[in-house]
Amino acid sequence: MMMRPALILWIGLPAIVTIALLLVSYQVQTLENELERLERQAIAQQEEIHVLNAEWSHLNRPDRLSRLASKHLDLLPVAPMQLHIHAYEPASLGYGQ
Amino acid sequence: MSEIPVRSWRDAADDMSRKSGEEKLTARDARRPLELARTRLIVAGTIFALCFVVLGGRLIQLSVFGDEPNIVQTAHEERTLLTLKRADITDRNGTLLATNLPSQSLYVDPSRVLDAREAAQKISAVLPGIDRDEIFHKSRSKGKFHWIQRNLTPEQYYAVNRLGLPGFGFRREEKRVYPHGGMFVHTLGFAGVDNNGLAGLEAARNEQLRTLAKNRHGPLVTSLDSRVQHIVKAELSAAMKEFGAKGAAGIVINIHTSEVLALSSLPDFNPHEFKSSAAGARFNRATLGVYELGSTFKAFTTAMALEYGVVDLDDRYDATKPLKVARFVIRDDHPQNRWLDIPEIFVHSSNIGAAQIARDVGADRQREFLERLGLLAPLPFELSENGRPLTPRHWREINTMTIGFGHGIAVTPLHLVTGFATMINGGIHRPPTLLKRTGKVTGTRVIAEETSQAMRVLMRMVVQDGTGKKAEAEGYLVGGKTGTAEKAIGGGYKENALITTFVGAFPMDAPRYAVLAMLDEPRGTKATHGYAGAGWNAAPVVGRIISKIAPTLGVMAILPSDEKVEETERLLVRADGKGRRFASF
Repeated sequence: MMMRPALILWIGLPAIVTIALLLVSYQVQTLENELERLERQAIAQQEEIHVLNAEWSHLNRPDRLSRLASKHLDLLPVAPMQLHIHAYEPASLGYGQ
Repeated sequence: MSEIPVRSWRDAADDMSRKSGEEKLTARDARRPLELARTRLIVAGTIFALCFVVLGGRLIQLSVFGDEPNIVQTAHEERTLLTLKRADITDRNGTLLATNLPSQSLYVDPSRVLDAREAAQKISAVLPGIDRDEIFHKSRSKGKFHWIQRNLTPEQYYAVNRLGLPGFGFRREEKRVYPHGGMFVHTLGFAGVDNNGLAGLEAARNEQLRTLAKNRHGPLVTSLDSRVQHIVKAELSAAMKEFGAKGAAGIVINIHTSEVLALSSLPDFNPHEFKSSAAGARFNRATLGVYELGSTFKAFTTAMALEYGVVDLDDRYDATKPLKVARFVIRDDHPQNRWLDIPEIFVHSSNIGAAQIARDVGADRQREFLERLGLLAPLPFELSENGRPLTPRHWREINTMTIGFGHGIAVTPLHLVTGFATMINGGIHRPPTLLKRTGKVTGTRVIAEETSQAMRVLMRMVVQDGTGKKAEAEGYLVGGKTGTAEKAIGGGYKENALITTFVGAFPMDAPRYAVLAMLDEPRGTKATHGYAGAGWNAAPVVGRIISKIAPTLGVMAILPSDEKVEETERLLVRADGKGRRFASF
């Protein structure tokens, strides 16, 4: 009579632990699959960003921009006189900053 | 009656006692294995409990403290970060100049091909670039792997994939791509199909680019500026066209750090199709080609003479008539037929004067001076194409004199512009670099600051007053020197085949950048009255380049109405310490 609760405990506990372990391992597997999918996705998106960067650089070629600007915009390159110092101080023949 | 119960009681008691004695005996016998089992159970239980304690402890250790987390993390990074075979190359502002893009390459495994003829037919239909017979032969040949076509475009990949031919497969590869096409081909060079650098920076820094990519250390940052490069290339191509030149070279360099901002050699080619490019286009005129660069060398001669104290700016030389030395006659291109002082020799580019100055300095000192300027050895530049200067084997007096005005010595345009940077920046020589530099760049002093100051004044006078007038860029104090030389071909000189050069720097009161333009065999035009000298073609190119790159590089212009401009100009002239005034003032 005294043995019964202990027996139930010792049979029940492994059973519960086994079921829990099973569930956890399934969960882990699902998560691992998810992780792998995300990792693949991360790589794919980095690759995409990489390609887009190259494309961005290609589309921003100065020769292309200047061609497009002269075709579609009513603008000219900055002339030297548009960028000047008002109070010009003759540098004391020092060289550079 | 009474006996019987007594007896029966006794019997009964005896029976009972006997029985209980028997029972006692059996109970003790039975208890022994039970105790044994219990002991065993306790021992086993303890062992299990210990095991669980150990496991539990390990579990806590793993989950709470974590065991070797770095390995787990690196493995994770390994799988989540894109790794390419070759690092990117960017310009100084982070613009992408070279990168690796993933691509698919088509191969064939002949053992799995069903119908080689049909396969060849179908593939050649969607990949027009390759021969049908070639595919057929590869599909019938021995072995298990033959490339059909490397680096397909996405459309080609899709088209071939859709054919669904057995035996034909794709392998993921990386293709080196230059988003700017041929713009940087003479600096970056190019990499082949196996991701090995074959020319330029790609070849010179092949290992570094691979290591950077492997450790994911980011791009290789060059000193180039794509905006400046575009301007230089555009102006050079325009000049090449205008003057019908065979080729051209242009360099923009920061004179304080010797960082190369732009380097162009024309004609150039598309690095993606380097195999089909013309041999002439592959030749780098700016760093590999060595040329006699003519009068530009007078800057070195003058600086050298001032530095060694051989002459003062007031000293005069006889330029009344051509100079006869041994069997040579030295003439002036812009003859003044009078005695000239040092600034006049420089401004009017007198060969006779420069030759005499060089003779007075002497061969040994000239040689030492040019050596310290790095003009006698290949530059330690980050390219696989670095030209070795041609110098006289025996440095005789006549060599000294011709080198004084830039003949009898051949250097690359990059040598020349680096030498000019030293003349202008206060006298410090720093080898040129293609990589972005940060912090203060150390160098070796070649000339004193006073000499450099005098050179800046003299160069400003050339543009204001002398042969380089067309290099003037409104708003900036441009200074520089022209150089026109006949091309040396097979021991002699080819008449009317000129190399014209102009090296300029700006702004001359606080110089920051030096610009070189060189044209290979330019011809005179109606606009130049038939003249083909550097002052007519190379100088205006530099002027135009400066007026375009200066606003881009944030160099402020001076208003022409500003009274202080004149003051600055005077200040420049006074810098020679004599308070000299020239006719133009």
